[in-house]
Amino acid sequence: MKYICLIYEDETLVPSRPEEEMNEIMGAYFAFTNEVQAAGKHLGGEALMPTETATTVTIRDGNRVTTDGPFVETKEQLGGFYLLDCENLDEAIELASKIPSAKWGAIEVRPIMVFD
Amino acid sequence: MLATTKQQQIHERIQAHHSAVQAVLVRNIRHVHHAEDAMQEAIVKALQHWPVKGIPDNPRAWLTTVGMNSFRDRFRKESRLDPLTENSEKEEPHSAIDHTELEDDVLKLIFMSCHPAIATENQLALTLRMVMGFSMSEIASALLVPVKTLEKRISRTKRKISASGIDFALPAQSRLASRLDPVQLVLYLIFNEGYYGSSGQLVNRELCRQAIILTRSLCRVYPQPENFGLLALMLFNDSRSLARLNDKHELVTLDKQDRSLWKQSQIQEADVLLQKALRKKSVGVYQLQGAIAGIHSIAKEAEETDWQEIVLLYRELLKLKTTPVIQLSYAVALLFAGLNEEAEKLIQQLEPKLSAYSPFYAAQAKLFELKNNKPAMQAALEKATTLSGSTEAAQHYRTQL
Repeated sequence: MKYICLIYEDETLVPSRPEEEMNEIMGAYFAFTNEVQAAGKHLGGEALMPTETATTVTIRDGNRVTTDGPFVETKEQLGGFYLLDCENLDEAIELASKIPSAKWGAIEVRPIMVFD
Repeated sequence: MLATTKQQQIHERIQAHHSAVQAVLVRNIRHVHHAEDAMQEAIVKALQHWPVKGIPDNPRAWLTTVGMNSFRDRFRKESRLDPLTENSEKEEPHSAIDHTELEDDVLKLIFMSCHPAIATENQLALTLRMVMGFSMSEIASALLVPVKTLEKRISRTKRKISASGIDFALPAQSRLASRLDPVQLVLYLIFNEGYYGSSGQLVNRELCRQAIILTRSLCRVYPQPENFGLLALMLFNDSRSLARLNDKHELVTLDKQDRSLWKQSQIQEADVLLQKALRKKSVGVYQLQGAIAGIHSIAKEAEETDWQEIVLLYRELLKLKTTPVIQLSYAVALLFAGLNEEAEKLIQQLEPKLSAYSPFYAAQAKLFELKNNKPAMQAALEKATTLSGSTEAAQHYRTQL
């Protein structure tokens, strides 16, 4: 089954991180990515630019409205994701718990919908 | 009267086979929602046929076949299938199925219903529904939620199981740690529901019996110390069933029970299981609660109870898990151990948290009794009575008034 792991964390903490800590986190992310790739479970994954760069688009009564900012303002924001191929939810949870941000943020695990 | 008895007998037979039939249906149908529908249809058919034709020789096979047929009828109308026949109970799918395999299937059903990705109250609701075969209204009254809310929650949980990849399988040893906790908790809650009757029903021995059977198979597949601790706890408590109700059907407290009615064979078994668990040196909340229950069980008279030891065990338990209810039991143990001041302080602290919990006022009454404060004691007993959910507990408090 395919699962997406949505990585949420407080993005305001990022700029204040000392370089050393930042490198450590990046290292942990590379290690995780390598691990899931080597296991053949990595289908994709990206980090996102902060929500201040977001544009929200809606169409109401046929008119396109663009809003400067994310769809919802939250304390913790979507900062990236992994798309993983797992045997079942147990494995997805196990891998999600290895994503570095799980230690200070939160990982939301969602199965990918299958249309048959 | 006769009709009622027969109906009741049929109901009991269905209930007794519910978990096994439901588990086999989930295994064969591979879809929790359809499997539950199939189970419900099998029950409806049994309630129609059995009063007329009698209970079949193999009720489990009958229910499984009828459930599978109703599933096929609904989803594969085109396929040629024999309609329900007289000997349908003989054509059990997986007729070679052995007892262990069946027990494993029931465990799989529990592990599926109690997956940690499901909220605790929904784990319990789904287990009561799918494993124990409770009706929606029974579960709703046990969990104190409206039937409509419960139905929504159960449907949502079943959808989550199907959609999110929660397997009908026994978890791998490497993932056991996180999977075992919720299963133990739900079995513990089911046993307590039967034992303490919090839903306002009478003590439900069948529920306790089922919880014990399920915990036994859990121990067989996963011989972890805490599983044995949980089983020992249940067996110690259940050994007192006969002494807990008097002939007027009123609840008898531990200190007033006729201890000759305690089932000694069960106490001995629990003791052996507990010692075996404790030797593994990996103590946990169920082993400690089992040990506390065990101390009561070995006391020949209430006066011989080793309250000092119970106090020590509660202190260990509180290091692992602190809930107001455990703290209250600790406070009661302190009272019996003669540590009144410490008990009083704790009971005062607990009042805001337990103001809707009837045993709290029973404990408060005990405290006032020891302090010779009769009016305060009576007020506390009255509060306990008004709050008590269980008929028997309520009668018990009233007899003390």
